[in-house]
Amino acid sequence: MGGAESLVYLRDRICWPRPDYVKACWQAPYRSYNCLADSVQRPDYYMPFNGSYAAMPEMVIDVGGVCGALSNLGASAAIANGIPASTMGEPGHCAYTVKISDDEWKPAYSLSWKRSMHTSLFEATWQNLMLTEACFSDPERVAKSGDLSRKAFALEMDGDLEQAADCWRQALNAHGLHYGLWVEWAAFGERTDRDANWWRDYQTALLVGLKGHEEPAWTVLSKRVYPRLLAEMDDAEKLRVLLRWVRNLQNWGGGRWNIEGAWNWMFKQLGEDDQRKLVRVMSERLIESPDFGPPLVVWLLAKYSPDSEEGRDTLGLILKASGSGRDGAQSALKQLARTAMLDAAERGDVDTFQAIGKQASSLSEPLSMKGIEPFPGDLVSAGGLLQVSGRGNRWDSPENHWGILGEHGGRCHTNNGASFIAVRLEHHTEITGIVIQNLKGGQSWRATDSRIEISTDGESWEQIGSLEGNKRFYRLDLEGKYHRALWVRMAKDTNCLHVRRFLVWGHRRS
Amino acid sequence: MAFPSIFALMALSLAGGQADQPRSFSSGRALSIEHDSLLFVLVHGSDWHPFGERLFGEVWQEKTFGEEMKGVLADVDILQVRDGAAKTAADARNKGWVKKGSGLQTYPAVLAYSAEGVLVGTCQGTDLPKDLAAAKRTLITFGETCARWKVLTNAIARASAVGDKAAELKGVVARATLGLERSATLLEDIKRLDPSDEAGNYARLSFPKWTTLVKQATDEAKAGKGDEAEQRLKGMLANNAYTSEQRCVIHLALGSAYRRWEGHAEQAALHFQAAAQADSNSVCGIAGRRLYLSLYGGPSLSLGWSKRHPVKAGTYWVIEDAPQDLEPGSYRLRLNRTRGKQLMITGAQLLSDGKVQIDLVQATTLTKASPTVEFTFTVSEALTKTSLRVLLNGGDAGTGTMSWIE
Repeated sequence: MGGAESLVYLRDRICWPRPDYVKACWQAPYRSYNCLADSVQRPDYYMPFNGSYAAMPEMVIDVGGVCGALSNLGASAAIANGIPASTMGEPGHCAYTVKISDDEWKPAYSLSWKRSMHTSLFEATWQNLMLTEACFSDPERVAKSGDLSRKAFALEMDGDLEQAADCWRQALNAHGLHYGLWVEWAAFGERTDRDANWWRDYQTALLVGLKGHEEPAWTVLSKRVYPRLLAEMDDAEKLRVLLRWVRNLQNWGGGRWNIEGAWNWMFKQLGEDDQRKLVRVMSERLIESPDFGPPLVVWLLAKYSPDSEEGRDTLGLILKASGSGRDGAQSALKQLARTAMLDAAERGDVDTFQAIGKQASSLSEPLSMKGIEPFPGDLVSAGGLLQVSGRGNRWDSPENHWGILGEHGGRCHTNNGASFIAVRLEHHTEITGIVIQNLKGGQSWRATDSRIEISTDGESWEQIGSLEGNKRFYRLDLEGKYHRALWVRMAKDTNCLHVRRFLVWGHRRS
Repeated sequence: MAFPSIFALMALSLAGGQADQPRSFSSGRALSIEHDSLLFVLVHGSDWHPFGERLFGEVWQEKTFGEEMKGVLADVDILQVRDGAAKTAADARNKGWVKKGSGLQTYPAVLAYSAEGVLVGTCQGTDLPKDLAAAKRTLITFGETCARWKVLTNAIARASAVGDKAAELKGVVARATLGLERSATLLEDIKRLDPSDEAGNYARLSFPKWTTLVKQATDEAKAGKGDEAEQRLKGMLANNAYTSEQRCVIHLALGSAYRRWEGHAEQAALHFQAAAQADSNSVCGIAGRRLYLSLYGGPSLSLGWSKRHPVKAGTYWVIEDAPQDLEPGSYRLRLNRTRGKQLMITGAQLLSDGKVQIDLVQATTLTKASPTVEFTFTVSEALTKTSLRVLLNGGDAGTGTMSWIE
């Protein structure tokens, strides 16, 4: 939607304070089929209306669309008003991002951390966008490093390779955040056929220069450095080189990324024995990390069955890390749920929450669904995640959290005082109904008068109802009320809360 | 009459205060209540929207502008910063104004309220030019329309008070056609004042959004209830109250229902064409024409040809949307094959009132390697009721585009 007439239209139609553009996509209705029952997947969807509107965005606002049209609308509205924005691809979905302040990009209409930018200066990852933002926020250093890189090119053309090499080093010392120059420097190394020591030095410099930007660093290392550096090494040497990177990991840097892909790549470079050593070091180094621990555990459990030696070692490590002193897979799963799964929930990592939660659900028997009638649409809570206030309180049992969201059933308990139980849904949803299954017993009154609130971003909330009376099942019929949300929560300011199920039905809007 | 002079005095007294400092929403509201006048609120963003600030500084706060708007002027400043002293101060100043339900869609916006706090209308977005002089003129016109709303509202109240239903109805309908916000009780009032809807106002004013009507009919047909949709929509067509634009929507809805109702393709085609004829430049009229051409009609300049158009040797295509009248001059008909193995053409003809005027014999085969052919028609005198034919010599079903160039 970038033609001149579209931009002029959007400049007038959607002109908002900068942070609000993350909601601009919702100016258009989400419709998989237009009013003539033609599918959005076919060219017939917009065909009847071509030529009827002043601009494409006007047509989308009137006729509708799905995630691609909505995200393009949101991003284009921002761009039309001079605010940087871009659409992004996520699994089965199109999202977008807006630069909501001078130094912050915010994902919009987003479902997953697994995203790739549709527009990028260097690589198309979110982390590379963060790195690019950090790099170009210092124009003086960009200029200085750029000048040095041009000097390096000139020296190379004159045949003075050693001076050129030194100039490259200076360029990256001047501004280690310049991804483009790291790539150019690696290309220099390839052109001039540098030896393993050179590449080792390159790795050292890169790990320092791109500290805090692990994903872009990994991209350069795996694509340009390691293929040359590891080529003539034996497994033991390879392992040492790769462990150097593992030990350098601190946190997600620019955001959660596909570190599992990196681990898989490293695995393939090694024989079986060294694979085990790699896993051992990774586990020791990372299992307690709130960032890397959860995905590492899921990755290990996917690689090794709990009955295998490696699987048992993994569970043992989890127990050891938890300091629980207990034994067995059950204890390990409980610890997983109490640590890694809650970490994942806090970070909005739905996949990891689901993976660990499903495993942990084997520790409890399913509850009957008797008395629960579904609402129209999909059970969109089932594939989401749960957040419970008062993490680590003595009444809670995180291993039962996953079941709360679906047919299995579960249990959770907040801490005393102001409390909430929040569900992050699988998709943006037009909610048709909510069922909350209360705990039985003398404390069931605690749910009474809880507010039911919704949010599209997990940060700003709107109350849409409340739980009235002391009931076993609270049923909120929201069909036709057009409440659209990615998050739903029950909240109360005066006492703790506890539920067995928190089920949300609705129609997908992403 | 006393009313205009009192109004002029009021405008002067309101404008007098305007030059001193901008009025907050709550103080504007209080003044509006005190003087029983309209309240115009400019919603702008002082820390992020340059045009809005120019509008505020150079137009809104201009001495004479308040007089011209014939109401109380106030403003609401929505800052982009989310916290800090400035935000706290702005929030305090904006107190009393609630964004939800205000009618605000984009910035800057002018919202008009009655003295009773009812939203009268808004001027924003594409309706508010981004040139200051043009914006000022537009806002003054908006102010005049809102003033007319006030006059009508008073007239409606007077008519209601004396039981004059005819006058009340006239006022209600006139107010509804001002292009401002509709009264929440509009349909209820019309029903009460004209139960049999003799004047057709209820029918016209209760007409749903086109997407709603079309979707309802389409869904019914898909659910096997095409006859219900047909009955209801034909009943609507039988009512002469509807405007041509509304009749266009009804035809489109009928066409869509028939389309999804097996065995009713002919009716679908008829009603899509009827939609196009009822209001050819509206969204629904254009949709009707394009749907007809795409699903049922012959090849066209708009959509080209598709696999369903026969290509048998010795037959010809009549181009559905050829120009009806031609002035003298030179014209080119271009065909461009996009899919299909080959299409063999022997020529093209230009007819007027059913008689061949120009017969171009030009045998060609459109293929992937050679997909385009052009026919040049030299028209020496003006022609009416013209039509175009493409003469075929067999080939494969496929797709292509057509264009007509002067």
